[in-house]
Amino acid sequence: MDIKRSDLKLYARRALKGNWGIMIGATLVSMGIAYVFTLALEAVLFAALGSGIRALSGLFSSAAVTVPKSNISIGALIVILIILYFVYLVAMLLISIGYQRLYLDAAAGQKVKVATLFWAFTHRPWKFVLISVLIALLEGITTVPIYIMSLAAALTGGSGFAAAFLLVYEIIFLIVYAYVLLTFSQFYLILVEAPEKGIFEALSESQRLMKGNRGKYFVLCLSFFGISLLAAFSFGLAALWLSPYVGCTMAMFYLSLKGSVPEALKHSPAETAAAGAYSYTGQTFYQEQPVPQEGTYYQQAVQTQQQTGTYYQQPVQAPQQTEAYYQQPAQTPQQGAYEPQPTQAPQQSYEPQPPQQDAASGSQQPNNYQ
Amino acid sequence: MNEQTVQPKDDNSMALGSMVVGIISIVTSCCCCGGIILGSLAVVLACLSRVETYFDKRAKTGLICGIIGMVLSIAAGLVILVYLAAAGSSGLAGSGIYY
Repeated sequence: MDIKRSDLKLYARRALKGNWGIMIGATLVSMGIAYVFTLALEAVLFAALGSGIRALSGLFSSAAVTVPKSNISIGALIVILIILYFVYLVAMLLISIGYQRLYLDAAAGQKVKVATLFWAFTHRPWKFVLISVLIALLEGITTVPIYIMSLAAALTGGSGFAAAFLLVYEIIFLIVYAYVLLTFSQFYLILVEAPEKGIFEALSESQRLMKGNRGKYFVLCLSFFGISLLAAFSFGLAALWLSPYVGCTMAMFYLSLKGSVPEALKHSPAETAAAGAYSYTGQTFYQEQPVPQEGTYYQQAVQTQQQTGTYYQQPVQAPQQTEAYYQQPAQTPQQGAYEPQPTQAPQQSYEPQPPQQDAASGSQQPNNYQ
Repeated sequence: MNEQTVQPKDDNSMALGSMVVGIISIVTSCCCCGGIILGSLAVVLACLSRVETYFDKRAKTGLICGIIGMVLSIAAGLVILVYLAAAGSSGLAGSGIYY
Protein backbone atom coordinates (compact mmCIF):
# COMPACT_ATOMS: atom_id res chain seq x y z
CA MET A 1 0.00 0.00 0.00
CA ASP A 2 1.54 3.27 -1.03
CA ILE A 3 -1.34 5.63 -0.32
CA LYS A 4 -0.79 8.09 2.47
CA ARG A 5 -3.16 8.29 5.41
CA SER A 6 -4.19 11.84 4.60
CA ASP A 7 -4.92 10.80 1.02
CA LEU A 8 -7.13 7.97 2.22
CA LYS A 9 -9.15 10.46 4.23
CA LEU A 10 -9.30 12.84 1.29
CA TYR A 11 -10.58 10.07 -0.98
CA ALA A 12 -13.17 9.15 1.64
CA ARG A 13 -14.42 12.73 1.76
CA ARG A 14 -14.59 12.81 -2.03
CA ALA A 15 -16.48 9.53 -2.06
CA LEU A 16 -18.95 10.90 0.47
CA LYS A 17 -19.46 14.17 -1.37
CA GLY A 18 -23.04 14.14 -2.56
CA ASN A 19 -23.84 11.11 -0.40
CA TRP A 20 -23.94 12.80 2.99
CA GLY A 21 -27.73 13.02 2.99
CA ILE A 22 -28.11 9.30 2.35
CA MET A 23 -25.55 8.46 5.01
CA ILE A 24 -27.25 10.65 7.61
CA GLY A 25 -30.63 9.27 6.53
CA ALA A 26 -29.33 5.73 7.03
CA THR A 27 -28.09 6.65 10.50
CA LEU A 28 -31.45 8.17 11.40
CA VAL A 29 -33.29 5.10 10.09
CA SER A 30 -31.15 2.75 12.18
CA MET A 31 -31.60 5.01 15.21
CA GLY A 32 -35.36 4.97 14.63
CA ILE A 33 -35.39 1.17 14.45
CA ALA A 34 -33.33 0.93 17.63
CA TYR A 35 -35.69 3.39 19.32
CA VAL A 36 -38.78 1.39 18.35
CA PHE A 37 -37.19 -1.81 19.66
CA THR A 38 -36.22 -0.07 22.88
CA LEU A 39 -39.75 1.20 23.36
CA ALA A 40 -41.16 -2.29 22.77
CA LEU A 41 -38.65 -3.82 25.18
CA GLU A 42 -39.49 -1.24 27.83
CA ALA A 43 -43.21 -1.85 27.38
CA VAL A 44 -42.81 -5.62 27.83
CA LEU A 45 -40.40 -5.09 30.73
CA PHE A 46 -42.81 -2.83 32.57
CA ALA A 47 -45.65 -5.25 31.88
CA ALA A 48 -43.54 -8.04 33.38
CA LEU A 49 -42.73 -5.86 36.39
CA GLY A 50 -46.43 -5.12 36.79
CA SER A 51 -47.19 -8.83 36.77
CA GLY A 52 -44.47 -9.35 39.36
CA ILE A 53 -45.97 -6.68 41.60
CA ARG A 54 -49.38 -8.26 41.16
CA ALA A 55 -47.95 -11.62 42.21
CA LEU A 56 -46.35 -10.04 45.25
CA SER A 57 -49.54 -8.19 46.15
CA GLY A 58 -51.31 -11.53 46.02
CA LEU A 59 -48.80 -13.06 48.42
CA PHE A 60 -48.94 -10.23 50.92
CA SER A 61 -52.48 -9.23 51.69
CA SER A 62 -51.34 -6.02 53.33
CA ALA A 63 -49.75 -4.73 50.16
CA ALA A 64 -50.89 -1.23 49.44
CA VAL A 65 -50.49 -1.57 45.69
CA THR A 66 -53.54 -2.69 43.79
CA VAL A 67 -52.80 -3.51 40.19
CA PRO A 68 -55.53 -4.44 37.68
CA LYS A 69 -55.49 -8.03 36.52
CA SER A 70 -53.96 -9.00 33.20
CA ASN A 71 -54.54 -11.97 30.91
CA ILE A 72 -50.82 -12.42 30.17
CA SER A 73 -48.83 -14.32 32.76
CA ILE A 74 -45.40 -13.18 33.92
CA GLY A 75 -43.79 -16.27 32.39
CA ALA A 76 -45.17 -15.46 28.95
CA LEU A 77 -44.01 -11.87 29.32
CA ILE A 78 -40.48 -12.97 30.20
CA VAL A 79 -40.41 -15.29 27.18
CA ILE A 80 -41.63 -12.42 24.96
CA LEU A 81 -38.97 -10.18 26.48
CA ILE A 82 -36.18 -12.65 25.75
CA ILE A 83 -37.37 -13.27 22.19
CA LEU A 84 -37.75 -9.56 21.55
CA TYR A 85 -34.28 -8.86 22.92
CA PHE A 86 -32.81 -11.60 20.71
CA VAL A 87 -34.58 -10.15 17.64
CA TYR A 88 -33.30 -6.71 18.60
CA LEU A 89 -29.70 -7.95 18.86
CA VAL A 90 -29.88 -9.80 15.54
CA ALA A 91 -31.48 -6.83 13.77
CA MET A 92 -28.88 -4.40 15.09
CA LEU A 93 -26.06 -6.79 14.16
CA LEU A 94 -27.33 -7.16 10.59
CA ILE A 95 -27.85 -3.41 10.31
CA SER A 96 -24.26 -2.86 11.43
CA ILE A 97 -23.15 -5.25 8.67
CA GLY A 98 -25.33 -3.26 6.28
CA TYR A 99 -23.42 -0.16 7.35
CA GLN A 100 -20.17 -1.84 6.30
CA ARG A 101 -21.68 -2.58 2.90
CA LEU A 102 -22.92 1.00 2.62
CA TYR A 103 -19.46 2.41 3.37
CA LEU A 104 -17.84 -0.03 0.98
CA ASP A 105 -20.26 0.97 -1.78
CA ALA A 106 -19.52 4.64 -1.18
CA ALA A 107 -15.77 4.06 -1.16
CA ALA A 108 -15.93 1.99 -4.34
CA GLY A 109 -17.90 4.69 -6.10
CA GLN A 110 -21.05 2.60 -6.33
CA LYS A 111 -24.57 3.97 -6.06
CA VAL A 112 -25.43 4.49 -2.43
CA LYS A 113 -28.93 4.05 -1.04
CA VAL A 114 -30.51 3.75 2.37
CA ALA A 115 -31.91 0.30 1.53
CA THR A 116 -28.33 -1.06 1.60
CA LEU A 117 -28.65 -0.84 5.36
CA PHE A 118 -30.76 -4.00 5.18
CA TRP A 119 -28.42 -5.76 2.79
CA ALA A 120 -27.36 -8.39 5.34
CA PHE A 121 -30.98 -9.45 5.90
CA THR A 122 -30.97 -11.00 2.44
CA HIS A 123 -27.34 -12.10 2.12
CA ARG A 124 -26.56 -15.04 4.39
CA PRO A 125 -27.78 -13.39 7.60
CA TRP A 126 -27.26 -16.49 9.78
CA LYS A 127 -23.63 -16.63 8.75
CA PHE A 128 -23.05 -13.19 10.26
CA VAL A 129 -25.06 -14.13 13.33
CA LEU A 130 -22.99 -17.30 13.77
CA ILE A 131 -19.75 -15.33 13.43
CA SER A 132 -20.88 -12.84 16.06
CA VAL A 133 -21.91 -15.63 18.44
CA LEU A 134 -18.51 -17.32 17.98
CA ILE A 135 -16.66 -14.06 18.61
CA ALA A 136 -18.74 -13.40 21.73
CA LEU A 137 -18.00 -16.93 22.96
CA LEU A 138 -14.25 -16.48 22.37
CA GLU A 139 -14.29 -13.20 24.21
CA GLY A 140 -16.20 -14.83 27.03
CA ILE A 141 -13.69 -17.68 27.29
CA THR A 142 -10.80 -15.23 27.61
CA THR A 143 -12.39 -13.73 30.71
CA VAL A 144 -12.70 -17.10 32.48
CA PRO A 145 -9.20 -16.95 34.10
CA ILE A 146 -10.08 -13.55 35.58
CA TYR A 147 -13.17 -14.97 37.27
CA ILE A 148 -11.31 -18.07 38.47
CA MET A 149 -8.48 -16.04 40.03
CA SER A 150 -10.91 -13.59 41.61
CA LEU A 151 -12.86 -16.48 43.10
CA ALA A 152 -9.69 -18.19 44.34
CA ALA A 153 -8.47 -14.95 45.91
CA ALA A 154 -11.81 -14.45 47.62
CA LEU A 155 -11.81 -18.02 48.99
CA THR A 156 -8.18 -18.19 50.12
CA GLY A 157 -7.76 -14.60 51.16
CA GLY A 158 -4.43 -14.28 49.29
CA SER A 159 -5.16 -11.21 47.25
CA GLY A 160 -1.53 -10.24 46.51
CA PHE A 161 -0.78 -13.10 44.13
CA ALA A 162 -4.19 -12.79 42.50
CA ALA A 163 -3.71 -9.07 41.89
CA ALA A 164 -0.28 -9.64 40.32
CA PHE A 165 -1.63 -12.46 38.18
CA LEU A 166 -4.56 -10.38 36.99
CA LEU A 167 -2.28 -7.44 36.13
CA VAL A 168 0.07 -9.59 34.07
CA TYR A 169 -2.83 -11.43 32.48
CA GLU A 170 -4.59 -8.19 31.52
CA ILE A 171 -1.42 -6.76 29.93
CA ILE A 172 -0.74 -9.93 27.94
CA PHE A 173 -4.40 -10.20 27.02
CA LEU A 174 -4.48 -6.61 25.82
CA ILE A 175 -1.44 -7.07 23.59
CA VAL A 176 -2.70 -10.34 22.12
CA TYR A 177 -6.19 -8.94 21.69
CA ALA A 178 -4.90 -5.86 19.86
CA TYR A 179 -2.73 -8.03 17.61
CA VAL A 180 -5.65 -10.30 16.75
CA LEU A 181 -7.97 -7.36 16.18
CA LEU A 182 -5.50 -5.70 13.83
CA THR A 183 -4.75 -8.93 11.99
CA PHE A 184 -8.38 -9.76 11.34
CA SER A 185 -9.63 -6.19 11.04
CA GLN A 186 -10.58 -6.66 7.39
CA PHE A 187 -12.55 -9.82 8.08
CA TYR A 188 -16.01 -8.26 7.98
CA LEU A 189 -15.25 -6.13 4.92
CA ILE A 190 -14.04 -9.21 3.04
CA LEU A 191 -17.23 -11.06 3.89
CA VAL A 192 -19.38 -8.05 3.09
CA GLU A 193 -17.74 -7.72 -0.30
CA ALA A 194 -18.02 -11.43 -1.04
CA PRO A 195 -20.48 -13.13 1.33
CA GLU A 196 -20.01 -16.47 -0.43
CA LYS A 197 -16.49 -16.76 0.98
CA GLY A 198 -15.93 -19.07 3.90
CA ILE A 199 -15.09 -17.87 7.38
CA PHE A 200 -11.58 -19.32 7.41
CA GLU A 201 -10.94 -18.09 3.88
CA ALA A 202 -11.88 -14.57 4.94
CA LEU A 203 -9.69 -14.85 8.04
CA SER A 204 -6.65 -15.97 6.05
CA GLU A 205 -7.23 -13.25 3.45
CA SER A 206 -7.46 -10.61 6.16
CA GLN A 207 -4.21 -11.94 7.65
CA ARG A 208 -2.54 -11.77 4.25
CA LEU A 209 -3.78 -8.25 3.56
CA MET A 210 -2.76 -6.92 6.96
CA LYS A 211 0.73 -8.37 6.87
CA GLY A 212 3.03 -5.37 7.28
CA ASN A 213 0.07 -2.97 7.50
CA ARG A 214 -1.01 -3.43 11.10
CA GLY A 215 0.89 -0.35 12.27
CA LYS A 216 -0.62 1.79 9.54
CA TYR A 217 -4.11 0.65 10.44
CA PHE A 218 -3.46 1.29 14.11
CA VAL A 219 -2.22 4.83 13.43
CA LEU A 220 -5.17 5.40 11.09
CA CYS A 221 -7.55 4.46 13.89
CA LEU A 222 -5.72 6.70 16.34
CA SER A 223 -5.80 9.63 13.92
CA PHE A 224 -9.55 9.98 14.43
CA PHE A 225 -9.12 10.74 18.11
CA GLY A 226 -9.01 14.52 17.73
CA ILE A 227 -12.06 14.86 15.52
CA SER A 228 -13.94 12.37 17.72
CA LEU A 229 -13.21 14.59 20.69
CA LEU A 230 -14.67 17.54 18.80
CA ALA A 231 -17.73 15.46 17.95
CA ALA A 232 -18.12 14.68 21.64
CA PHE A 233 -18.10 18.42 22.39
CA SER A 234 -21.03 18.80 20.04
CA PHE A 235 -23.02 16.37 22.20
CA GLY A 236 -22.89 13.73 19.49
CA LEU A 237 -24.42 15.93 16.82
CA ALA A 238 -21.27 15.83 14.69
CA ALA A 239 -21.25 12.03 14.94
CA LEU A 240 -23.91 12.03 12.22
CA TRP A 241 -21.18 13.13 9.82
CA LEU A 242 -18.22 11.58 11.57
CA SER A 243 -19.43 7.97 11.58
CA PRO A 244 -19.77 7.72 7.79
CA TYR A 245 -16.43 9.48 7.41
CA VAL A 246 -14.62 7.02 9.66
CA GLY A 247 -16.39 4.03 8.13
CA CYS A 248 -15.69 5.17 4.60
CA THR A 249 -12.03 5.80 5.42
CA MET A 250 -11.73 2.27 6.78
CA ALA A 251 -13.38 0.92 3.64
CA MET A 252 -10.96 3.02 1.60
CA PHE A 253 -8.08 1.48 3.54
CA TYR A 254 -9.40 -1.95 2.64
CA LEU A 255 -9.64 -0.99 -1.03
CA SER A 256 -6.11 0.42 -0.90
CA LEU A 257 -4.85 -2.89 0.51
CA LYS A 258 -6.42 -4.59 -2.46
CA GLY A 259 -5.15 -1.91 -4.83
CA SER A 260 -8.64 -1.11 -6.04
CA VAL A 261 -9.16 2.49 -5.01
CA PRO A 262 -11.28 4.13 -7.74
CA GLU A 263 -9.18 6.29 -10.02
CA ALA A 264 -11.89 8.93 -10.06
CA LEU A 265 -11.29 9.71 -6.40
CA LYS A 266 -7.61 10.41 -6.98
CA HIS A 267 -8.50 13.58 -8.85
CA SER A 268 -10.10 16.55 -7.22
CA PRO A 269 -13.51 17.70 -8.49
CA ALA A 270 -11.91 20.82 -9.96
CA GLU A 271 -9.36 18.75 -11.87
CA THR A 272 -12.10 16.45 -13.06
CA ALA A 273 -14.27 19.28 -14.29
CA ALA A 274 -11.34 20.96 -16.00
CA ALA A 275 -10.30 17.74 -17.70
CA GLY A 276 -13.85 17.15 -18.83
CA ALA A 277 -13.98 20.63 -20.31
CA TYR A 278 -10.75 20.31 -22.23
CA SER A 279 -11.51 16.95 -23.68
CA TYR A 280 -14.74 17.07 -25.56
CA THR A 281 -14.93 13.40 -26.42
CA GLY A 282 -14.02 12.78 -22.82
CA GLN A 283 -14.49 9.61 -20.87
CA THR A 284 -17.41 8.40 -18.90
CA PHE A 285 -15.28 9.04 -15.83
CA TYR A 286 -15.82 12.75 -16.09
CA GLN A 287 -19.10 13.85 -14.70
CA GLU A 288 -18.88 17.39 -15.99
CA GLN A 289 -19.31 17.15 -19.74
CA PRO A 290 -19.19 20.24 -21.92
CA VAL A 291 -22.34 21.36 -23.63
CA PRO A 292 -22.45 19.91 -27.16
CA GLN A 293 -22.14 22.45 -29.91
CA GLU A 294 -24.55 22.69 -32.75
CA GLY A 295 -21.93 21.65 -35.24
CA THR A 296 -21.19 18.61 -33.19
CA TYR A 297 -24.82 17.67 -33.10
CA TYR A 298 -24.99 18.01 -36.80
CA GLN A 299 -21.94 15.81 -37.30
CA GLN A 300 -23.41 13.17 -35.06
CA ALA A 301 -26.70 13.31 -36.92
CA VAL A 302 -24.94 12.87 -40.25
CA GLN A 303 -22.89 9.96 -38.94
CA THR A 304 -25.97 8.29 -37.52
CA GLN A 305 -27.84 8.65 -40.75
CA GLN A 306 -24.89 7.40 -42.75
CA GLN A 307 -24.74 4.33 -40.57
CA THR A 308 -28.42 3.65 -40.85
CA GLY A 309 -28.54 4.38 -44.54
CA THR A 310 -31.07 7.11 -44.18
CA TYR A 311 -28.66 9.84 -45.02
CA TYR A 312 -29.04 9.37 -48.73
CA GLN A 313 -32.78 9.12 -48.55
CA GLN A 314 -33.58 11.99 -46.30
CA PRO A 315 -31.26 14.89 -46.25
CA VAL A 316 -30.28 16.08 -42.87
CA GLN A 317 -32.03 19.22 -41.85
CA ALA A 318 -29.16 21.45 -41.05
CA PRO A 319 -29.69 24.23 -38.59
CA GLN A 320 -30.45 27.38 -40.38
CA GLN A 321 -28.28 30.41 -40.33
CA THR A 322 -25.68 29.06 -37.99
CA GLU A 323 -21.98 29.15 -38.24
CA ALA A 324 -21.76 25.46 -37.46
CA TYR A 325 -23.77 24.61 -40.53
CA TYR A 326 -21.21 26.12 -42.80
CA GLN A 327 -18.40 24.20 -41.22
CA GLN A 328 -19.79 20.92 -42.53
CA PRO A 329 -18.43 19.41 -45.73
CA ALA A 330 -20.46 20.45 -48.68
CA GLN A 331 -22.42 17.37 -49.65
CA THR A 332 -25.64 17.23 -51.47
CA PRO A 333 -27.72 14.24 -50.53
CA GLN A 334 -28.98 12.22 -53.45
CA GLN A 335 -32.51 11.06 -53.31
CA GLY A 336 -32.80 7.29 -53.37
CA ALA A 337 -29.08 6.60 -53.67
CA TYR A 338 -28.04 3.85 -51.29
CA GLU A 339 -24.35 3.93 -52.10
CA PRO A 340 -22.18 6.83 -51.09
CA GLN A 341 -21.85 9.19 -54.00
CA PRO A 342 -18.88 11.39 -54.72
CA THR A 343 -19.28 14.81 -53.36
CA GLN A 344 -20.90 17.09 -55.80
CA ALA A 345 -20.63 20.76 -55.89
CA PRO A 346 -23.70 22.31 -54.37
CA GLN A 347 -25.83 24.64 -56.26
CA GLN A 348 -25.17 27.25 -53.72
CA SER A 349 -21.98 27.35 -51.79
CA TYR A 350 -22.41 26.75 -48.08
CA GLU A 351 -19.36 28.78 -47.34
CA PRO A 352 -20.17 32.31 -46.36
CA GLN A 353 -19.70 34.50 -49.36
CA PRO A 354 -18.25 37.93 -49.07
CA PRO A 355 -20.69 40.68 -49.82
CA GLN A 356 -20.79 41.24 -53.55
CA GLN A 357 -20.30 44.76 -54.63
CA ASP A 358 -22.53 45.93 -57.35
CA ALA A 359 -20.27 47.93 -59.56
CA ALA A 360 -23.08 49.83 -61.12
CA SER A 361 -25.03 50.84 -58.09
CA GLY A 362 -22.39 50.38 -55.43
CA SER A 363 -24.89 48.69 -53.12
CA GLN A 364 -24.27 45.46 -51.27
CA GLN A 365 -26.17 42.32 -52.12
CA PRO A 366 -27.82 40.71 -49.11
CA ASN A 367 -26.10 37.56 -47.94
CA ASN A 368 -28.66 34.91 -47.20
CA TYR A 369 -26.28 32.68 -45.24
CA GLN A 370 -25.44 35.01 -42.52
CA MET B 1 -15.12 23.57 -33.54
CA ASN B 2 -15.02 25.95 -30.69
CA GLU B 3 -15.25 24.14 -27.34
CA GLN B 4 -17.15 25.59 -24.50
CA THR B 5 -15.29 25.67 -21.24
CA VAL B 6 -17.33 24.41 -18.32
CA GLN B 7 -16.60 25.95 -14.99
CA PRO B 8 -16.68 23.56 -12.05
CA LYS B 9 -19.85 23.92 -10.03
CA ASP B 10 -19.37 25.45 -6.62
CA ASP B 11 -21.60 23.01 -4.75
CA ASN B 12 -19.72 22.49 -1.54
CA SER B 13 -22.78 22.82 0.65
CA MET B 14 -20.98 21.40 3.65
CA ALA B 15 -18.54 24.31 3.60
CA LEU B 16 -21.48 26.68 3.47
CA GLY B 17 -23.08 24.86 6.39
CA SER B 18 -19.85 25.08 8.33
CA MET B 19 -19.72 28.82 7.79
CA VAL B 20 -23.35 29.32 8.87
CA VAL B 21 -22.98 27.14 11.97
CA GLY B 22 -19.69 28.87 12.83
CA ILE B 23 -21.28 32.31 12.69
CA ILE B 24 -24.21 31.12 14.80
CA SER B 25 -21.74 29.67 17.30
CA ILE B 26 -20.20 33.12 17.81
CA VAL B 27 -23.64 34.64 18.28
CA THR B 28 -24.66 31.99 20.80
CA SER B 29 -21.31 31.80 22.57
CA CYS B 30 -22.67 33.76 25.53
CA CYS B 31 -25.54 31.29 25.91
CA CYS B 32 -25.36 27.97 27.66
CA CYS B 33 -22.79 25.87 25.78
CA GLY B 34 -24.09 27.16 22.43
CA GLY B 35 -20.65 28.20 21.32
CA ILE B 36 -19.06 24.89 22.21
CA ILE B 37 -21.74 22.71 20.61
CA LEU B 38 -22.10 24.69 17.40
CA GLY B 39 -18.44 25.69 17.26
CA SER B 40 -17.23 22.12 17.41
CA LEU B 41 -19.84 21.16 14.84
CA ALA B 42 -18.61 23.95 12.55
CA VAL B 43 -15.02 22.77 12.90
CA VAL B 44 -15.99 19.16 12.13
CA LEU B 45 -18.04 20.22 9.11
CA ALA B 46 -15.21 22.41 7.85
CA CYS B 47 -12.75 19.54 8.13
CA LEU B 48 -15.10 17.15 6.34
CA SER B 49 -15.89 19.59 3.55
CA ARG B 50 -12.33 19.62 2.21
CA VAL B 51 -12.39 17.65 -1.01
CA GLU B 52 -9.61 19.57 -2.69
CA THR B 53 -6.03 19.78 -1.53
CA TYR B 54 -6.85 23.18 -0.08
CA PHE B 55 -9.61 24.56 2.13
CA ASP B 56 -12.64 26.22 0.61
CA LYS B 57 -12.94 29.88 1.62
CA ARG B 58 -16.27 29.27 3.31
CA ALA B 59 -14.90 26.24 5.11
CA LYS B 60 -11.98 28.33 6.31
CA THR B 61 -14.43 30.96 7.54
CA GLY B 62 -16.49 28.29 9.31
CA LEU B 63 -13.36 26.81 10.88
CA ILE B 64 -12.20 30.16 12.23
CA CYS B 65 -15.68 31.20 13.39
CA GLY B 66 -16.18 27.83 15.07
CA ILE B 67 -12.89 28.10 16.95
CA ILE B 68 -13.72 31.67 17.98
CA GLY B 69 -17.19 30.56 19.13
CA MET B 70 -15.71 27.74 21.23
CA VAL B 71 -13.08 30.00 22.78
CA LEU B 72 -15.66 32.70 23.55
CA SER B 73 -18.00 30.14 25.06
CA ILE B 74 -15.25 28.73 27.29
CA ALA B 75 -14.22 32.25 28.28
CA ALA B 76 -17.81 33.15 29.10
CA GLY B 77 -18.11 30.01 31.22
CA LEU B 78 -14.89 30.85 33.06
CA VAL B 79 -16.06 34.42 33.68
CA ILE B 80 -19.32 33.15 35.14
CA LEU B 81 -17.47 30.67 37.35
CA VAL B 82 -15.03 33.31 38.60
CA TYR B 83 -17.90 35.70 39.27
CA LEU B 84 -19.84 33.07 41.20
CA ALA B 85 -16.73 32.13 43.20
CA ALA B 86 -16.05 35.76 44.02
CA ALA B 87 -19.67 36.36 44.96
CA GLY B 88 -19.65 33.28 47.17
CA SER B 89 -16.42 34.18 48.98
CA SER B 90 -17.48 37.79 49.65
CA GLY B 91 -20.91 36.79 50.90
CA LEU B 92 -22.72 38.62 48.15
CA ALA B 93 -24.83 35.62 47.41
CA GLY B 94 -26.75 35.99 50.64
CA SER B 95 -27.01 39.74 50.53
CA GLY B 96 -29.59 39.82 47.85
CA ILE B 97 -27.30 40.90 45.01
CA TYR B 98 -29.01 38.45 42.72
CA TYR B 99 -32.44 39.95 43.31
